[in-house]
Order: sequence, then structure tokens, then C-alpha cells
Amino acid sequence: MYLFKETGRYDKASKLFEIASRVRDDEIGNVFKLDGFIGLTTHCTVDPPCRYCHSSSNIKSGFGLENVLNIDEIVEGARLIEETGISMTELGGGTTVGSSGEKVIEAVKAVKKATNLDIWVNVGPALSEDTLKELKNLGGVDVTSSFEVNPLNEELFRKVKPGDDLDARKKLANMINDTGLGLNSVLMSGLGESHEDRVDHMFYLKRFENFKYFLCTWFHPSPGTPMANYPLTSPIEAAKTAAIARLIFRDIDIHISGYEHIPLWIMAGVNRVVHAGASVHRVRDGAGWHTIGAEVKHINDKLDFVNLLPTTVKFITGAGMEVEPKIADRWLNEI
Amino acid sequence: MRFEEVLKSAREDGITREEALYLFQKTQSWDRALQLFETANKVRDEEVGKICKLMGFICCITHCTTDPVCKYCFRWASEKSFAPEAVLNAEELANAVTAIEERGIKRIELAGGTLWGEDGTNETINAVEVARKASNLGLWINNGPSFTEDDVFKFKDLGVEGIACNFETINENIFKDLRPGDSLEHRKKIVEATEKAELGIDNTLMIDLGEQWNLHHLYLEWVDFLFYFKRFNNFRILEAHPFRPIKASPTQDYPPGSYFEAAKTKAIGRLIFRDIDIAGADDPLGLMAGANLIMHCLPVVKKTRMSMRPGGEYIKIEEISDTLVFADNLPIATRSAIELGMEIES
Repeated sequence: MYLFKETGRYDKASKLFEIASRVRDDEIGNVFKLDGFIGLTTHCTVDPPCRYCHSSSNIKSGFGLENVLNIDEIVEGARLIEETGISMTELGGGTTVGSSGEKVIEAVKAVKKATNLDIWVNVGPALSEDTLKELKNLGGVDVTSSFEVNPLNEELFRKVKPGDDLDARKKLANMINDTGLGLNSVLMSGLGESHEDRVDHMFYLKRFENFKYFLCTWFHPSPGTPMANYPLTSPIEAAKTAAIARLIFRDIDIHISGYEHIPLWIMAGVNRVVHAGASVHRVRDGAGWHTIGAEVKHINDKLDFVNLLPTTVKFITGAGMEVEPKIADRWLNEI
Repeated sequence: MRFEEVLKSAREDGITREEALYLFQKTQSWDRALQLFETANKVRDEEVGKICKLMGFICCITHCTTDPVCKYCFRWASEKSFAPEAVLNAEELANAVTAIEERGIKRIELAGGTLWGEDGTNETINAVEVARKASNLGLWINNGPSFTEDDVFKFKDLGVEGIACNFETINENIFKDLRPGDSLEHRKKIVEATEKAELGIDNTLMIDLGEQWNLHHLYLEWVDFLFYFKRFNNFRILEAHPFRPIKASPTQDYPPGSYFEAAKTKAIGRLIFRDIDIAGADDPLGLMAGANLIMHCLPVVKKTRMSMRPGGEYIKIEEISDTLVFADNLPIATRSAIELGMEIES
């Protein structure tokens, strides 16, 4: 709390970032990781949709059935991602309420058969305990249970995620941890929370011994959603949250979103950026997330492969961090 | 040389060419960058103060007739960007400057494409006259070499505060390759005339412009650029922006410029020039690197230019008239500065 309050000046913020980066370097090392993304694995049936999600807009949903990939597409995507040197991919999707995760199991098995990729699953509370045990047995899989806002602030959770189930997410987090899988979770700054909420959120997660990845994302308003007029969250707030998270958690992976701010994230003690490696998803109009420096290939008329590695590797190594060896071999040494 | 010693000395005095190059070469990691930025911030605070300045923006006062089109220009993404239909008429321009001045902005950039020849001179002068009559704003012109060096003295008489005739690179080969229809020589003459006329000079270095994937950053040329302007007493604004490849342009596959290097350039620019205004204070990294000026505040453009997202994403667009829109980007543009403890000028 003190650090959130006291770092409202550039010199103090810089000092916070310096310490966070030193802790990262000491506890984890100098390698900045980049993941793949394959999605959607599952569609979202949360009703009503979360108020910040473009699924709640009156334009075409991003988490609808039309964007779900079949197993063959997932496997093809995984192969393409592995060829880039990436070692871990997210299998992402919406929350299919009531599902126990059959599609997830099928997808993970297929990817494991075709590649050596590690996987982190991110489909919300649509996974049973048996599914988690099966994922544990497969090896090389971690699982996400996100709250986005402070799980101890039920009122705020209900306000921004009115159709979601906080208890189910808490239960999922506990099951992931107790099964011995790596637990991933997401805090999204800018959804109406206070600094105290963020601190409570982080210390809630600190109780999980298998808490492995913390994604500090930051709110971007989507047109047509109930939160379309909320202000865009500041990257400074995101950076400060990530830096303070580093001082709390020390040796876990701290991800953030927004590859254009990679130098700032590096200075804030972050060691991973989501959606900054290579992605496979349905063809989108326009550039979508991926604009500057992205190589976009149409796998077919329905599937895109988007590779940001040439740009993000350059940004990362330019700021003095290393990338994983296979990525370096492919994108630094070959260029 | 030792890194810490160069920075220690830079707290008190401007750095040399050799020291600037050294700082570029030796700042290759986040920790050194933070040290560099710390020094740059201290120099900014002492020499310029902790107040963030704002520059309004209106485009366009002239359309672009550069032929062939510069290889990295927005014109490749949208033919309308610098087309005649994007140019504001006198009434529109008067409305635009009034709208911006009413929001408390003190200075404004009248921007446009390069309109070569006498038409460029005439239209630029007309625009300045309209803006001068309609407001008390500090006027800066930014429409390339749309006029001659002799015209610069007319602008002074009309009350212009400064001129931005951007080079983006000092490397003549890169300039010729990427801007084959333009003239670096003409731009240099305008800058020199601006100095003689004792008007403010604004110039932009585009970081990594012309760089290929397998090349290292052109530090020596960036130092050449910065010290080219050191000779001018009236060099007042430095801009250092990373190159952004534009879709459908001949340079669309070129590597994007580095934000890290752009921030370093701002910081090193601060240590060279000390008390000038450095753009980029809307970006957290730029602010941390010693910037104190936010460009493109409250941009006013013709509706035909809306697809270019004036002011950036997540910005509220308001109509000023049937043909003009105004992007209220101030809350987002000033946010980093406020969150990092700077005051915003009022």
C-alpha cells in the first residue's frame, strides 16, 4: 500500500522499478519469455457477459462459437508456434459454463502428441477436478483461474462480471493448487478497484504454494460494451502494479500485456509479455491486437498465424534482456 | 570514459559528441537506462522545471504534392491523409484555433503536407494570417519545405513563433532512398533561415528510419543529427520518435523503431541541449527520460481524416462543425505526466 501511495513521482517510480528489476534479475535471471497463443479452444457462455469484455458489446463477439478452433486447427497452430522457437503456449478460450473440460483435455493431448510445447490453459471455471488430475498426469501443463478484480471484493466482482461465478473461480484456484498444477491468475488494473483492492488481490494469491504466473493486465475500453466510456488504464499504473507484485512474489513469472511498452515492462521487473510471441486464431478484420511489426500469414481463409517475434525479440534484447535459446537461435542468430 | 563519471559531469554541463556517442553505445540495459534517465530528469527539473507543456495540432493547412510519395508516409495507408480535401479553409481554420485556444492551450502546430512551389508559400501565409487573426496562440508551422527560406522572414513578421521542417534523418543516402521526391538541402536552408530570423526551430529524428533487420542502430548518425542542431541558438524543440512501418507502404516490412532507443535519444538530447523542450511527455518512458512537452494535443482535423484516428485510440471525438472534428485526447495525453508528479501548464 505504501509503495502504491508513495510512487506518484517519476523519481520514486524509477526507484521502485529499479528495485523490482534487481529482484527479478537475482531471483529469476535475465531471460524474458514469450509465449504462443492458440484460441479459441472453447467459447464463452457466461451470461450476462463481463462488462468490459467485447462479448458484451452489440458487435460480433470475440468469444463466440464461430471463433472456436477444431482440434486439427489447434494442432496446426501448435506446430507453427513451436517452429518459431517458443516453448510454451496458452490454450485460451471463453468459459463454457457447466463444462468439465473435455475439449481442453482433447486439445492438450493432441498438442502434446504433435509437439514438445508446454501449455497453460486459460478457459475459466469450466474444468472439473478429474480434468485437472488428468492434465497433471499429462505433464507440462499449468492452469489459470483468473479473478481480474480482488476476489475478496464480491461487490466489485459482481459489478464487472455479473454473469460470472466468483465461488467457482475460487474453487478452481484451490483445485489447481491442490492438484499440484502450476496456478496462473490475472489482475486487471482499471476496473474500478482501489490500490487496497490490488494489494488484497495479490496477497490472496500469495496463499497458493503453486502460484506460478501472475498476469498484470490493464483495462482497455471496448466500443459498445457497458464500460466503453471508462478511461483507458495508464501503463504507469500497470507497471507499478507489476513492480510491486515482483516485490511480493519474487520468483514467479510476472506477465503483462502490451508489447509496445516492453522497455517499460522490463524496467518494472516483468519477465513475460502475453500475446507478444506467435498466435493462431480466426481471421480478424484489420490488424486486431497485432499491428506494428507483426507478420501475418493466412493459414487458410479462416485461420491466421500472427508472429511478433522479429519485433519483440528486438525490443527485448535492445533493452538488455535475453530471450530463450531456441528463440534467439531462430530470430537473432539467423537474422 | 566511465559511465557514472560521464553522467556525473552531465549534471552540471552539456555533454560532448564523444560522450553522447558513448552514452548511446553503453546504455544497453534497463539499469543503465534508469541511471541515464535519472540524470536527464534532474537536468530537466533544474533547467526547464517540472511543468509539462502542451502543443495543439491542426491538420492540414496544405496538401502534399511530393512525388514520388515518401516511402514511409501515411499517404500509403490513406490517400485522403494529405489530399486537398484534408485542407481546412479559412473559416474552418479560424474555428479550429478558437476551439483549441478555448481549452487553455498556449501554442499550436499548423501542420500539413509539402505543397511545392508558390502555392505552398501562398497557402502557408494565408493559414498563418487566419490563425494569427483568430487567436493569441503561439504559432508553429510544420508543413515541410512548402515555402522558401526567404519566406521564413515573412512568417516572422506575421508573428509565427517557430518552424518545424523535419529531417527525420541526417543521412543523405537514407533520405534520398526513402524520400526521393523531397529535398534535405531545401529543408536545411529553411532551418538556417529560421535561425537567422530568430524563430524557434523544431526538428524530429525518426529512430531506426532506414534500418534493416540485421543492422545495429545508427548511433553515430543520431549523434550527428543532434549536434547538427547544437549550432543553432534557436533550436527549441527536439522530437525523437520510433519509426512506425505503415501498411501498404514500401517500408511496411522494415523493422519498427525501438521505443527504448527513442527514450535514450530524448535523455541524451536533454544532456546535450539542457533547457529546450523535448517532446514525448505523454509516454511514460519519454517522461522518465527527461521529456517535458506533449505534442498533438486536441488535434483538429477534417472528417475525411477520421480514419487516421486523430489523437490515438480510446479518444472521444467531438464535432466542431459539419466538416471538422476535435479529438479530446488531453486526459490520456497528460495522464502519465500527472501520475509521475509533473504539473501541466495552464
